[in-house]
Amino acid sequence: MERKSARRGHAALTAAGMLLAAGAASAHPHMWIDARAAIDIDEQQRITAVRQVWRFDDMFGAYATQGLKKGKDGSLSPEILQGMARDWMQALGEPISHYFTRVTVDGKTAVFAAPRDARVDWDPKTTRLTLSFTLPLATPVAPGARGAQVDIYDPTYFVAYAFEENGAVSLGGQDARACTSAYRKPKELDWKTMQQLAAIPADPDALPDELFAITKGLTHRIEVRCP
Amino acid sequence: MPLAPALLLLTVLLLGGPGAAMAQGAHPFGVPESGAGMGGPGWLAGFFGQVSVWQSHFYRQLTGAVRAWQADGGAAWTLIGLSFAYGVFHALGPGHGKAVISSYVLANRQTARNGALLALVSALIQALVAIALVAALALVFNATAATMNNATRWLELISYALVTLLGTWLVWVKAIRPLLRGRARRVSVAAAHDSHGHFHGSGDAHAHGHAHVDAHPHAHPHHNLHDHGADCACGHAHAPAPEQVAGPLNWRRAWAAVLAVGLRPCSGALIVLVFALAQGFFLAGVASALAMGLGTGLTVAVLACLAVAAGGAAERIGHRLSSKGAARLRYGVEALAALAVLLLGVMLLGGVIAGGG
Repeated sequence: MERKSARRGHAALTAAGMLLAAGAASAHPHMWIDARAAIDIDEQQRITAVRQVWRFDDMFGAYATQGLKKGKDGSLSPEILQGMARDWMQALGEPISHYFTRVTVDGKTAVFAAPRDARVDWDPKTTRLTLSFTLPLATPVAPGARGAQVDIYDPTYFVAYAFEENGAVSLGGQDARACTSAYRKPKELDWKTMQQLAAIPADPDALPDELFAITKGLTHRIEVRCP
Repeated sequence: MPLAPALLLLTVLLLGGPGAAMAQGAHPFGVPESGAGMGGPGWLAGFFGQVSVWQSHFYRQLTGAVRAWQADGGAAWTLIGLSFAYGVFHALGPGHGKAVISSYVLANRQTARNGALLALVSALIQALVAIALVAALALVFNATAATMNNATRWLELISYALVTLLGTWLVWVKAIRPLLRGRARRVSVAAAHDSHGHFHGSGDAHAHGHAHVDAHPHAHPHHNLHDHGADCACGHAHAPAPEQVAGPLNWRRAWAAVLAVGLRPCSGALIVLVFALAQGFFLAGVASALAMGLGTGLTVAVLACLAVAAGGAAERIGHRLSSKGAARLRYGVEALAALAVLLLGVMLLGGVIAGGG
């Protein structure tokens, strides 16, 4: 009897402690992006660049443009939009974000050169912003028969991507026809992966690689093959 | 091991810190909350992961609900219901609010009723801060998102500083002072009688606080309004029935906890408010923010009640050991809860400062 109620007390404490552990966080998406990606193939059948178009959700569009000087029709000046593109690309270039994009061939991660053609468009009617940019590879890589993997995702799960529009994934460049692409949706974040994610130490430098290793199958993956 | 459950509690409380502190790093797209925080044991992260899936689920539907209300007044309840649900899951997910409230309630031996009241009031304040911030900055001054992010960061900084201050105060009152008193009493029983002060300073004429070790449930009518911190060192273990401690909340002391929790607006509420404003329908944003606050407040209230139940359970465990053990255990729980608030505050503050807040 005594023991029993002691155990009950113990259990109540554990339960309360569990619920009190407030900060043990795992993110939830606060932003949604309807994305498109085109992968450029040169005449030697190498991947040269990944071109992306990210259309943000309407809530984010309203928030990000709040207070900015707008025209009568709700439009934003080219200067403002350019500034936005510049700021975002700079932030995306940080190691922790790494443009939320990764190109892998034979298990090796390709290095990106400086991004170009970054621009932001604003649709005042839908309150949606669109960021477009090209991510060139520092050295073009040949996917070969085994293929190259282009992974796009936010490892922090703050942004949820969707490649659901028609033609959201495509090949471009001089010799696009020589290659094929296949898109694979991320699987649902499962219990076990969440546990692994949670076990990662808070070291920002190590984070992307480790996260990448764990989050296999959780990315939007484009498989490119040039047979 | 009477202290085992208390230690367990502290461990879990502290595990909350690193994750919350880590979540400070700015996300590339400049929204006033980053989701980078990950910490704590796996099963816990798994629980939060599931919570966050639901939270996103409701959040995603908010814009549609604002537009639906704008088109048809009858659809107001959809937005309010979704916002409430978002608030519930928001409270279950990561955030320092429930940790501060629950620890405060534990450390101060508040009743479940007072804990629930604290939770509700701080959630209401949080909603009002979000509404006031957007109304003042966006509606009146047409400030940019960057300005609002900055304002949020300042509020966050103040909020975390308050958590730290509150923690420092609690550690002093609940952990350090009782020890000093205990030592003083060992030196002289008479001295102990004098030093057995409650914080009200209204004189200690009541027959209480001698170094007697019998467990007697004598009534202290004036106890209701005052802290019990000094009791722990008295060596006598009386367990006031809930009715005895169930006095009205001491707001003068509780405001620090309320502000520490409520000053930092939830980014979900901010974004919905700005979105509603952009639609020319600010009222919908206000309704949504308040509904979120109610959902969060009720959820934290339940958690605070759980904390009270856990504190009571710890005390019952202690009682079976000995009256001395009970007093020690109670001291342990209160001191650890106080320490948890302090460490949480330090970690949160450190996270902001390290992140260039």
